[in-house]
Amino acid sequence: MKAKPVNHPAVEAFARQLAETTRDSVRATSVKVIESRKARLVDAFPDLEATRTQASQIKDFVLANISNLLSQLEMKCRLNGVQVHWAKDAESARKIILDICKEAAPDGGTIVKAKSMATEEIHLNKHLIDVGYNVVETDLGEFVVQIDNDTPSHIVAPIIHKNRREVAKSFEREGLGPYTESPEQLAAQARKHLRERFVEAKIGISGVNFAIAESGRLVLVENEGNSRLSTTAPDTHIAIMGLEKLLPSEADLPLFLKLLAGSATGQRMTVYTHLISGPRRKDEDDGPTAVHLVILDNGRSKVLNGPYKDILKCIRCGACSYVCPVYRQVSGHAYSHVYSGPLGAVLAPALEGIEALPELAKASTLCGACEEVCPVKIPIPRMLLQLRDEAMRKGVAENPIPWTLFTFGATSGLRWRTGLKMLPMARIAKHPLKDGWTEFRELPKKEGRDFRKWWNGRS
Amino acid sequence: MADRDDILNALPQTGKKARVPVPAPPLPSLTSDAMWQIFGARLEELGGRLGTLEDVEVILSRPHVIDQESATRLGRQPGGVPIWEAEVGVTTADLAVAEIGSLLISTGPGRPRMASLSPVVHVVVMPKERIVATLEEAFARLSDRSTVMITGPSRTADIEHVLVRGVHGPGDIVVVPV
Ligand code: SF4
Repeated sequence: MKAKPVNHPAVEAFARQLAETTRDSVRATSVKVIESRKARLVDAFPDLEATRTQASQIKDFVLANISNLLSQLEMKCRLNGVQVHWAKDAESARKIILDICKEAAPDGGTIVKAKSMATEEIHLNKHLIDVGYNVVETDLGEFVVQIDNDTPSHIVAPIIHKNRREVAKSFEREGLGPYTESPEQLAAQARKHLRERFVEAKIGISGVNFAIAESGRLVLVENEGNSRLSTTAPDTHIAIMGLEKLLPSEADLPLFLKLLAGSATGQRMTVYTHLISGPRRKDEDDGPTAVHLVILDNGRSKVLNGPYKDILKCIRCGACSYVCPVYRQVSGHAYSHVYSGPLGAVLAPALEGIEALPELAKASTLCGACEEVCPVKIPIPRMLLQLRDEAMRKGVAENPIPWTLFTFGATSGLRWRTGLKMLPMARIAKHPLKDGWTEFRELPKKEGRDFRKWWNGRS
Repeated sequence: MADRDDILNALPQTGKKARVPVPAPPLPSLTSDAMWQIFGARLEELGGRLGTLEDVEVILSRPHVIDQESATRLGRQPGGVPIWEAEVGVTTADLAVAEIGSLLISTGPGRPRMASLSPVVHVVVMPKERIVATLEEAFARLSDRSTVMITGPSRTADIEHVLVRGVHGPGDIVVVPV
């Protein structure tokens, strides 16, 4: 996929405001991944087109039968000894998880976390930290994000916006070891530090990549081993899944595992595919003694009844971001939502309502690259157009000119007011950039992240 | 449980779309030796390698844990040092998957999950016959217990997209078909 240039002045203006290093990191990584990914998929699937169609149809089947499949999943999980919980919204999910934690570790302590978008979506960490737990992100990228009080900028490559010197400085500051620019040594420092957390943790929290209705098996994929450690070493494992993350049967897994690995990182297969059949059985030597599954709605049932339901076919491979010319210019932070890139531009307003995020759908040139690479053929450009149309009809798109993504903090009354409420005015007034960039960067602040620290740390 | 019924009732009841059957890919008829050759090449691409029993004896001079089946095969005692201190983990595998260089390892009595995860070196000693050509064949024979599929050494590319092995799990994998 050749990068298509974007010549829109507003995008360029926005990109100019990003640190030079950030733009370079995002672009360089995007290009590398796109190239290896394409080669790998063509190699793995002689008829890639037919394969994508097939995957897309399996996900159509899932969405059309979702309530039956979820009931089946619940039953099978229970038979496997997994405790199933249902959460209609973020608050409910947090309460369920907090109750489990209080029972498993009443005196607080360390909770190890594997990378999970669902936990980001419900802002779980902050709530667990507030009641005294030491919540530690264990994926290398997410760990860096956490110690820097930053936010992930890509759903698969969370620190795509940072270079090795920034990581080195952070590790030195946190006392992980002497300053080094060697990625190997930085990884070794993280391994050592995080190993101690795995040993002491009583609870591990993860997401779910696929839940198999037919068998109740929870499938987690990763490359580092931190997800396996998080879900194996502690006595209690809590998995949280968006309710759409289903596959009908285990026979569907080979196709989806290959597509996900190839689309996300250009690998033939992810290093670890963890197929969880429940807690440790009596005759087994290790593994958690309790496994909980939290099934999260949080707006999804509403989306499934509406025009954007196809976005819930997404398998979170991140390919649409890598190829998106807008994403490549602005990086994930510009979307000001846990779901960034073309996927986020549809999913975020679909989940939260167009009134809350009326400008996000404009973050696209409608070049079609996202749909072209999507392994489950989600018609993202069509849905973006539909969202723009809905925003106009509801009169929430105050600025009819596209490319106002970076000013949406100011133009979206609701969000802006929410932001202001949580935020001392001085912080904005004092900031060197009193324009759009600053304004929407304030939004993550309301979720308890420190923008100023993030900004200063990026040199 | 109120949430459960609310959610299930809110979901669309659109009913069946025809379930598209996943067509079984044509099964290549390969000899076990040919499959091990492909497996070996894939594993090497990933940064692992095939080894011999002599290699295992050398590796076992380091603090290690061994699962039941491998211990029997190697004429050693199962178990070993406490898991967090083990530098080497020796396990068997249910199946090797030639096309992608993967190993399926289920848990069970005498088969701790951590042996293939916590140490810096993972040694797999397994019978030659346990290999299939494709992932589809492998998944048709999955154990019903918790299982991990391992495809190469632990890795990360989070820092500037530079590949680093052994970030949390083993950075070295040696597979010994016997
Ligand atoms: S929308 Fe498609 S391309 Fe984008 S992350 Fe989801 S599955 Fe991948």
